[in-house]
Amino acid sequence: MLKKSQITSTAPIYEPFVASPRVLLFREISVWAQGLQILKDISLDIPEHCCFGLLGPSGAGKSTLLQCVNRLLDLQPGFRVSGSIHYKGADIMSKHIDADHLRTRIGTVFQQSSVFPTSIYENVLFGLKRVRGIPRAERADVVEKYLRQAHLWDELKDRLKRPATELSVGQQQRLCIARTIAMEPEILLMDEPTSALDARSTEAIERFILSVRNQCTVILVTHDLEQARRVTDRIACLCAGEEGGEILETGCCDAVFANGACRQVFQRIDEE
Amino acid sequence: MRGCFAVPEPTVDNKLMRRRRTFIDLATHTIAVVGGLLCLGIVTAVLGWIILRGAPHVDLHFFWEASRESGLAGGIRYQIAGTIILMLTTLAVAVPLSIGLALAATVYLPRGAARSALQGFLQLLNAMPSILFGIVGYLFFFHYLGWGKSWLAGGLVLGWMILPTVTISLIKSMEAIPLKQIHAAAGLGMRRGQIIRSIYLPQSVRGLFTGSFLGLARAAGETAPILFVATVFAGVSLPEGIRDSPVLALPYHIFVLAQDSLQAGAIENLWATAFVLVALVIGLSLTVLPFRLHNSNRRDHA
Repeated sequence: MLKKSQITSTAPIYEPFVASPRVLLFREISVWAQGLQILKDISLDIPEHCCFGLLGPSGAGKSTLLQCVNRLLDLQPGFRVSGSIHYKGADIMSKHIDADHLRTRIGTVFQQSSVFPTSIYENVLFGLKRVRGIPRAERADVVEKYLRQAHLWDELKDRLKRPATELSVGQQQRLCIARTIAMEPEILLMDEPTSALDARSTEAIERFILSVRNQCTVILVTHDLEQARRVTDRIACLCAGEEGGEILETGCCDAVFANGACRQVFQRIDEE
Repeated sequence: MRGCFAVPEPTVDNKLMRRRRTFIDLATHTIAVVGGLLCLGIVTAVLGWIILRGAPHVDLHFFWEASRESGLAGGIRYQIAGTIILMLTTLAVAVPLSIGLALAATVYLPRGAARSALQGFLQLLNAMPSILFGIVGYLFFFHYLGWGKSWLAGGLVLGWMILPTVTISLIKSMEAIPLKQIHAAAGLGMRRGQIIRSIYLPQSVRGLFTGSFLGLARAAGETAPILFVATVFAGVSLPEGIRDSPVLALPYHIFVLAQDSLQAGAIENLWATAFVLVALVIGLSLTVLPFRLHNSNRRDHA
């Protein structure tokens, strides 16, 4: 495979994942909050096992779009959604979908980490123990496996029983990642997971994203253009239009970064 | 040496302004100190009075002996037992109900009108004079159900009375749970019941303790609600049934002794009982002091 840096402007742009099967299909998603339109007619195809980036300025509705996928918007009053999101032949937005069960298949890592006020060990098992159940004998192995995957094991292996709230913000965020992938989701939503973190944690999380694509599909909201180049396979550029966020362009990084309208948006992101 | 901000030369206006500001500062300070001292003074005086008058008459016999001659002699064994029975029943009534109400107010009811209505209803219940609880209890248990005086009726009435105290305290601690933690749990696919069990309840135990003990401290000292439904002055020991099983209780004992205060022996026993009751109430309040201090610290840091 060509390295992205080797691509010159004259060479044809390599578009990865074009022929891959699609795992999520967004069709004309529009969202209103208290009468104000936040998203307008979003249609997207997310290929399986890719890292799909959502880029756009603040207020373009990137986080809202993620919250449609895991139906967390249901928990917040005042939102109205139209359109459909197809996942495994069913429409996620349908009233007949069991949103709780859906969230066990579609994991979320939030912008602000939030560990539960219990030990590091219990945090990793928090969802797994309650949602799926796990035999006592397997617990220690599971904790090690997912802490390793979140690049946290070496730092924490000697203090698993300590309260998770003692950890640094970056470690807490990686713990949240471990806790989420312990559920073995098929899709992982990441909402600006590194926006408040130190370089070391950011690097660890980026390594995690690159490695986790074998297991699941990642949708990453990011503000960081360089990060998008480093870890995403395809991106969608959103802009904040008068009638809510819209998609300007979708494609591989090089194609989107080459688009003039998108470049203006990226300039605005940089200024923010 | 001057810093980076130049301080303007004082003008007449500025001087006036400064004097006014100093005056306001001084006035608020004085009001705070006077208020604090007044409060402290009254509490010390009342407590000191009760201790001085009551403590000399309190000994082990006073705790252990049953009262004789209509309370003029003997101790308060069954008054203490009756108060404990009433308190335990009150807790058994108030705790589960308040957990249910608090969950309704923070989790189940939709945000907006319904929640405000429930909170308003709780404030109203909190403001109800305790004699009203007594009368409603009397009408319901005595006239409607045909019960006699009963410890259970007393516990139920007191339970209803402290319900808002416990519930409001619980609601406060549930509302203090960060929303992102609830979303994180929901994001893992946990159902509402599981989120309640593993997030809401464990993190509001402090609120439950604080509210319960403050409520109990109030219930322990109330006479009016149990006057008609649960207590008699003399002639019973421990309840043997439910419907016609009155108990003795400390506040009611004080109430009746105060009415007979001209008789010899009544006054000593009155002060001694008051001392025991105050010690009980202060003890209950002190139990939750660490929780309350912890909560206010947390608010300061937030």
